[in-house]
Amino acid sequence: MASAGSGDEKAAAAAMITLISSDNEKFEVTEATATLSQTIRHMIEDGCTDGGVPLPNVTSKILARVIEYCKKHATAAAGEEGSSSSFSDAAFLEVDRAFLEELEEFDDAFLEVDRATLFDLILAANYLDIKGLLNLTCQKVADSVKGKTPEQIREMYNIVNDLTPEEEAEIRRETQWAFE
Amino acid sequence: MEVMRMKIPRAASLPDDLIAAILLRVPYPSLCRFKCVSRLWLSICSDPGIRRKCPQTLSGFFFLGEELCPSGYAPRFVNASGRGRAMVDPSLSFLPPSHRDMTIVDSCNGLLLCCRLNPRGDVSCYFVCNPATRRWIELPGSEATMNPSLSAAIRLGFDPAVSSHFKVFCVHNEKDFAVLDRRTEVGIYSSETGAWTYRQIEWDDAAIVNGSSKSVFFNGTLHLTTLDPLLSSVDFPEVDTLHLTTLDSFLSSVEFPEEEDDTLHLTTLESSLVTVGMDGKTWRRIPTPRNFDFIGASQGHLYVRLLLRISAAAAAAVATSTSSPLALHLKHALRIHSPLLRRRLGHIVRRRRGPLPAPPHRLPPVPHLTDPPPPPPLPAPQPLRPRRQSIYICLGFDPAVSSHFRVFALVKAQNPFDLRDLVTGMEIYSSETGAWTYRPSEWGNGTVASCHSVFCNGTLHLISHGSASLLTVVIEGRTWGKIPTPRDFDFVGVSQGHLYAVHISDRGNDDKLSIWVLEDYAGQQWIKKHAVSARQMFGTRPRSFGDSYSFEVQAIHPEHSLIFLTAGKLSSLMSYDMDKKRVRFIWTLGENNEPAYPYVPCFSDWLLLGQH
Repeated sequence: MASAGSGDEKAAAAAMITLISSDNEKFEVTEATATLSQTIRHMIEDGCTDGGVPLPNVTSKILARVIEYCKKHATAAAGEEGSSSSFSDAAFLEVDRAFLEELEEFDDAFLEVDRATLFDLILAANYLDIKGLLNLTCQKVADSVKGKTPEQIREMYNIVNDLTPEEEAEIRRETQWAFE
Repeated sequence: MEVMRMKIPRAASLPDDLIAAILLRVPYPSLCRFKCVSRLWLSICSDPGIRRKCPQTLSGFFFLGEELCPSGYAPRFVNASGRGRAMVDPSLSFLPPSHRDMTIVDSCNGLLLCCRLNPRGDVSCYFVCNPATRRWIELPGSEATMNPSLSAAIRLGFDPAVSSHFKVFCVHNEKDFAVLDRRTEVGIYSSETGAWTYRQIEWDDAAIVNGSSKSVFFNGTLHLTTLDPLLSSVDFPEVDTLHLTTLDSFLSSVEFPEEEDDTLHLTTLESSLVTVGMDGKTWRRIPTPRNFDFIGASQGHLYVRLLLRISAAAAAAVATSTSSPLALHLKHALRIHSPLLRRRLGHIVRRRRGPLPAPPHRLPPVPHLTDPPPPPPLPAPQPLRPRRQSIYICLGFDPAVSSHFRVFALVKAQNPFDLRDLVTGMEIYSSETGAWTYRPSEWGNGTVASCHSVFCNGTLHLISHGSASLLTVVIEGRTWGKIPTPRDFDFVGVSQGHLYAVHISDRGNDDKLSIWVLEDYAGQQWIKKHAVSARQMFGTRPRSFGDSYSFEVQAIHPEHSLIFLTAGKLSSLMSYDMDKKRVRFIWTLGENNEPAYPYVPCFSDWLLLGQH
């Protein structure tokens, strides 16, 4: 029984999914990597991944980055499941911590992209429904805007102020404390 | 379509819901500011949905200030940044004047649970208020909230993400005063119904919570730490027959048994976290690897903090509460360069008179034994933290001599291969000058200092193992001396105006204590006042002691002929009366082998910097 089980696992681990970007580039990834995307997971569950999964909203450049993220985090997820955490084992904690730190470093490096790429990653993460990536990228943008003034925000994102001076003055009066 | 997209400003290339997804991650003040950006941003930022989801970050802290208001302390607020005008008006001016005399009991996600005090300072009612919305509501009285002796712990539960109603949990004491440590039920107030409901507690009896239990409201569930099991789990066969108000007085009234058959049964229960759901219907007791001394929620996880044992390290662990049993991941470990921990470790090294015993956990090596020699001594030490490598830090304060205190830090020779603590000098911090000064030792080369000292007559007296003397240094570090001693003492203290010292000889199975007094300080003549063997004290060794007595003297009573010892693997604290030759058990301090710090209240505070 046990050997049969492990054989199945191997088969599952080896299952590959082909993702096709908007510019028709093909990416072959493991199922474990692909299923970080809820969208793809549902497609696999529905059995409609034969012949590849077309992703018309994602360019090859962005898809490559997304796959890079998923590969790293799929390993992380597998690692977490594999090692039941026994708190008393200090050595394990050291290993776990080192791994978490490595993952954090990866995420930090992953986010070192220009603003346009970051927005494309947000769109892709949203479309593919990858919670961790959406969270990571949105937080990155949030961190870059927090503490900024409305003027700086308009400048950063080319936003036209369509509020009348009166309206803006009124809002500023209401939220004066937030400007201090 | 593609062409269009290129021309649209970049922010607009994200749909509204994704802009919202970003904005709900910015701090609340930023969200409010961004209303001015544009009409679209105004509508996103004003959406009640995003306001509910927007993670309100920690703004600051309410605390009870030092400024007295008519009958108590006024609440104050400090921003988390420590700077700027308080973001919240701490006077809670929206409360009617009758409710301004209050204390804060708990805070939870923006709400404060307060209790109103009557002129005598007793609780007259509880109320919940929201300083941000200036709303408040008084809770109807319940039997336990109106009677402080009946309410063991009262906590607030509110999570706007789960429900816009709050709950107040009040853990009740057993009404029968004979068994005050039994908790029978929890009263739950719901702001939705405006009424209290009562539920039988479904944690087992051993889960003891009280007012000092740490708590957090997380995932719609109140999490409480249980009391230290070693303090809460002392299980005596007679407990049901005695009518005592507190466990404290019960323990101190118990005579240490002399017969093996009457051995105290000390059972150690597992540390745990107890939880109760908002509805009062789901109860859980989650075993935890240690007792946590803090619990909180952050970034969607439960965080707990605990101090690892004599490991020179404190660790914070993160736990996800959804899994059962609690799966903990170490999030951050911090090595505390605590003089206390070092002192204990140093002490163990000396007690065993051999190499360092293997620590109970695989932990980083103790810094001061293995660190490479640090760079040359620095000229300007920072306040209250000596810069040099110190082996022992102690406090000297005697209000009869001076209203300033000193901190003495022994500095050791920088030789990583020498496990002996050779003293080269001392750094002395004075609360008068607020600075450390360094004085080279005048005790002579090769002086080894130990980890026990006493401060009396404006002089620090230190035990020096192997030199048959007490090392002395006068308050300013200008006068250094040695008092010859007949033995290598293990403890020094002051009682009835005299210097006392205790020598412990571990002779196989029968440790022997000899207590000496220096009646003539100038003449330096020690007189043996008392001697007692462990067998005389206890008869047969109590089973709870483990393999050895491993005595440590913790204190000597300043007025009476009492010494306070810990013994056994669980560090049972007990007093020994030299006149009546009687041992009384006080408390089990636990396996941590931490010292008990004698505390004599001092109502003449030390003077602040610059005061005279």
